[in-house]
Amino acid sequence: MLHKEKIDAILANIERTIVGKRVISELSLTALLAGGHVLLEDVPGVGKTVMVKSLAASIGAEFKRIQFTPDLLPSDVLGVSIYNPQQMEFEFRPGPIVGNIILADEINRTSPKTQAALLEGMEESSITIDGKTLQLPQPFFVMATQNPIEYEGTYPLPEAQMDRFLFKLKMGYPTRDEEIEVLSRSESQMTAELSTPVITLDDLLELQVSATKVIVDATVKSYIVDCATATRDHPTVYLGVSPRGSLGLMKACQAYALINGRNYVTPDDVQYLLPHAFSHRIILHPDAEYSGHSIDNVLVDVIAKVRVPIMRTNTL
Amino acid sequence: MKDVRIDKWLLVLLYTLAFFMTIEWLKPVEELTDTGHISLFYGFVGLALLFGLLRVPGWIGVPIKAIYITLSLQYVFLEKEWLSAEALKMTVLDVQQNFAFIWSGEWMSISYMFRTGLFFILLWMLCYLIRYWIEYRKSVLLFFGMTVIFLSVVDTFTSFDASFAILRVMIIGLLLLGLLFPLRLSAKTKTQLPISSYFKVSAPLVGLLLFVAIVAILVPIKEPVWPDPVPFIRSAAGLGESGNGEGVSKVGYDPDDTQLGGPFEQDDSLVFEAYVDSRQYWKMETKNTYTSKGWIQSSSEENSLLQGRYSEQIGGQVLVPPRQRSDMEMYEPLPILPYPYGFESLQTTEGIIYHQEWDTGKLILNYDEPLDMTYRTEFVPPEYSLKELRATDMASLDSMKFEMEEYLSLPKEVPSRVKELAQELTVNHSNVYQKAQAIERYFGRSGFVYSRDKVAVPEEDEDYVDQFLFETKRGYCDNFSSSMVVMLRSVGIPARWVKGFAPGELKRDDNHEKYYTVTNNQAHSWVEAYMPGIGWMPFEPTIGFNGVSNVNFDIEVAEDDLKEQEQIKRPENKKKQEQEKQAAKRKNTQEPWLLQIFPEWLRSWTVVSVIIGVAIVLFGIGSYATRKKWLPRLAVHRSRSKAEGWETFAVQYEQLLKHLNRVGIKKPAGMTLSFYAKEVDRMRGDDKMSTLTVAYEKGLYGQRETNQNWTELRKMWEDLIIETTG
Repeated sequence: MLHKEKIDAILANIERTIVGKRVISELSLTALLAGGHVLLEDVPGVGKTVMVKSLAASIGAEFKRIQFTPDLLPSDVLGVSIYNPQQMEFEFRPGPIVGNIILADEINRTSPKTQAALLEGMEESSITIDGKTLQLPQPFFVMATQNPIEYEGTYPLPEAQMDRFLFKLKMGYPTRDEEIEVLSRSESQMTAELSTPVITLDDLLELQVSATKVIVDATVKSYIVDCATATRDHPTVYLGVSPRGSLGLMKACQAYALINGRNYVTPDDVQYLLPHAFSHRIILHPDAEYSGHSIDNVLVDVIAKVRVPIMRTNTL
Repeated sequence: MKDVRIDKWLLVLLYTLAFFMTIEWLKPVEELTDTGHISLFYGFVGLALLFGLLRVPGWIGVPIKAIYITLSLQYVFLEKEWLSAEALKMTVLDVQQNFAFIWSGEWMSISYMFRTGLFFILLWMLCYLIRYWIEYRKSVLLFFGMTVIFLSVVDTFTSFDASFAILRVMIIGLLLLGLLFPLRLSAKTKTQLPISSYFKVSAPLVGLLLFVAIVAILVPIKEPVWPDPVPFIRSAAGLGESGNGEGVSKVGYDPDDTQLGGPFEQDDSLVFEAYVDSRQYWKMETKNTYTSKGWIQSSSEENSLLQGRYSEQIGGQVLVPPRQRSDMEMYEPLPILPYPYGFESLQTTEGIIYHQEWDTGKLILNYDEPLDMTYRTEFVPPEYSLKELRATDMASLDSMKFEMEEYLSLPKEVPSRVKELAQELTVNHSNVYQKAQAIERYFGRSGFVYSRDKVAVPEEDEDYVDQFLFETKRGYCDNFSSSMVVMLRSVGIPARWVKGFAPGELKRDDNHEKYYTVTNNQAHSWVEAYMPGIGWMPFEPTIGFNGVSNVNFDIEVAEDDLKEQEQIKRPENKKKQEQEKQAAKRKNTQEPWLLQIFPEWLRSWTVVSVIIGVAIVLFGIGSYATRKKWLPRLAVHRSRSKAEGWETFAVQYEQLLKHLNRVGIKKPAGMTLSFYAKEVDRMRGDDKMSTLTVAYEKGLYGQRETNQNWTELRKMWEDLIIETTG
């Protein structure tokens, strides 16, 4: 199977279990292929779990779910060493983080300590317990969710932690027809658990490698950097996008190009992914927020203003 | 656009208006140049426009127009042989000859007949343009604008009075613009406008225009608030001839010249009016002694011989050519009378006694006469033979040293550097005339500034001429003329200082007769140098002024021939001689080139190069403005010869982007190519741009991916670029 066919198969498989949400599925897959993680910000009950589950099922990956609560401890995430009296030694019991695809539900409900445990694992793809470093299985993909409505008793993620997510996505409510379709489907017992893998984990790892080989022309690279710089220079922005953000955007663009069957990144990819990759990495000036500016506006402004490279350069 | 017809009566109206607008171009030509038979040109314009209106096919129209031109030329230039086989032969010969002249660049030799023919052809082309403007462009703004500019320039810089012409042109032009606008609109939207509703649309416009025109004529016009910029422009362009003067505070004739320098006030009160055929310097007196600060007349007894005369009655007697007359009407009392060079006699209505001083040339009335007196002078404008002028040698001056002493003497105070400068200027010239000319021309090219204010007065120990030549380099006629006299004398050429008035401003009276008004501003001084064997000859060193010395360029003609020719020529062909004089005058006076459009305009290399330069600039501007029409075709043509491949395609695509931008489909900086391509395709209703864009993006962002169907892409590109050219 060609890359494109594999990818189409995954997306088609996800669509069988979840109604609509093609965009979110595509973006999630993009993040997965780019080796990044996703922060889903939305109200409960719009199908986050189903989507992640069916993604996991489609690639035959191990799916874990952590429900974050204020009393959750880091060991509840990472795992603990328990003394085994028969063997006379401590035995490591891995926590839920040791899996391929993790749904970290309501991540802002837990204490920063526990959050940090998860986020460190996300960044390093490894965890350290009792002085031992444990490589996490590959692929490793975290989809964290947070509820934007209830802020009471939450621990909002600090900016440094936010930066570790490749995308921040919003799921949104389904359309009327889609919602009717959701109701109809519930009768046919078609659930995420029932969907079967369409590719193997090895196939997915191969796809991840292919994504890194997608060509990013120097003009496109400079376009990405120009966009990131523009967020830093924007008058209403207090904190602009970090170089990690630019790098993440480029990787995401590569994965997205692969999903679209291209072996090169176009500025269209950049413009499409830029709001998802940048929006959680920007802090506006308080004044600007009061005067009605929003991060979305700023990003629209950046896209409209930064010149798209359309001519050949002589440097190559 | 051709599918929308213009009603034929409307077309007749438009053509008539255009005809009258074209006539406005010919009127100044008639008045300012010696173009006779102007009605022939009117007729030709009318004919050409009529043919255009009636859609006369070229195979009929062109021969008829050609015959019209030929017959007109023969009628004007070959009066006697008109309508004969001889005339035709001569015409053909003339054309052949002139083509040879053009080929060899001998612009001066081109005959008047040929030039007139060219002028006809110019009008012919103009008529084609008018047809194009009216019927295809449906806009005459360019023609209208050019007409207004032409008239204002002619009005500003020449004696032509265009006040009513401008009004006529404004009315005609605005009418044309207004009437053509609905036509253009209907052509754009491809809807036929019924003639009845067309007139409904245009009626308010016509009404408003007529109302405005009437108001414009009736209401009083305020004097311009800004000062007249013309004198400034003219002096900046070296064309100045308005006023000059002497005296410390007030410009005008002042017999006292002992202390020269310093600024003076303008005074444009009228001194006299002169009815005379050509520009004349009005001489009043000469002075012989330079005092290092100014001029005085030191007369020895034997020099102040008086020449008593009695004026003749003004009568209708026939002048024998080349005698000319000037009718002078004085408005301000002058102690001595101005007169033109070559003065012979004075005539008044009642006899008066006057005398002319032999040495100063002063024309003095013996009794007090009424202030507003009128008198007539008869004069023979002096003509100097270049041949004789070149024969003037310094040696013959040596023998006159004694009698010319007063015109050679200089005060001791004149520093030696003045003399050294004069030596340096003249050392390379052998004859007296050329030496004088060298000094005369020195001022024009050595950074001297003509100015009437901020002119220095020499200090006690300074010399007036030395200060001007080496220190200030800024002054008016007195500075220039005194300096030239001093320099001439320092190299041994007898010279004297002349006072009088500049020719004045050309006007026309109600009967269309030429006359010159001379105001106090025109008080002037210049130089006379003595040419051995010839006599005193005027020179004009002041920059911005043009002398009137009529030098006959007879150098290549043997002397005997010349005399013979003159005897034949003069009585027989006065007109021809007049034309020659005009030509010579123009050469000397460098009038604005617009004056010379016809028929001398081909004479000067400068004019030719200016025309070529203007043509190139216009062509450049035109090409740039219409580049979206021809650039794509050129690009298509050029790309056909190039090898297929990414490089060629990229160039093509980039050209296409620029082209689309030019035709008005702009791409914002932040818009990606594929999005732009979708926009373009949406506007055009196909997917060519998207297909091309995908291929281009593949190459551009995918780093030179090469296996694409270049032939098909090129085809698509050609289609797109040509179709969007429109």
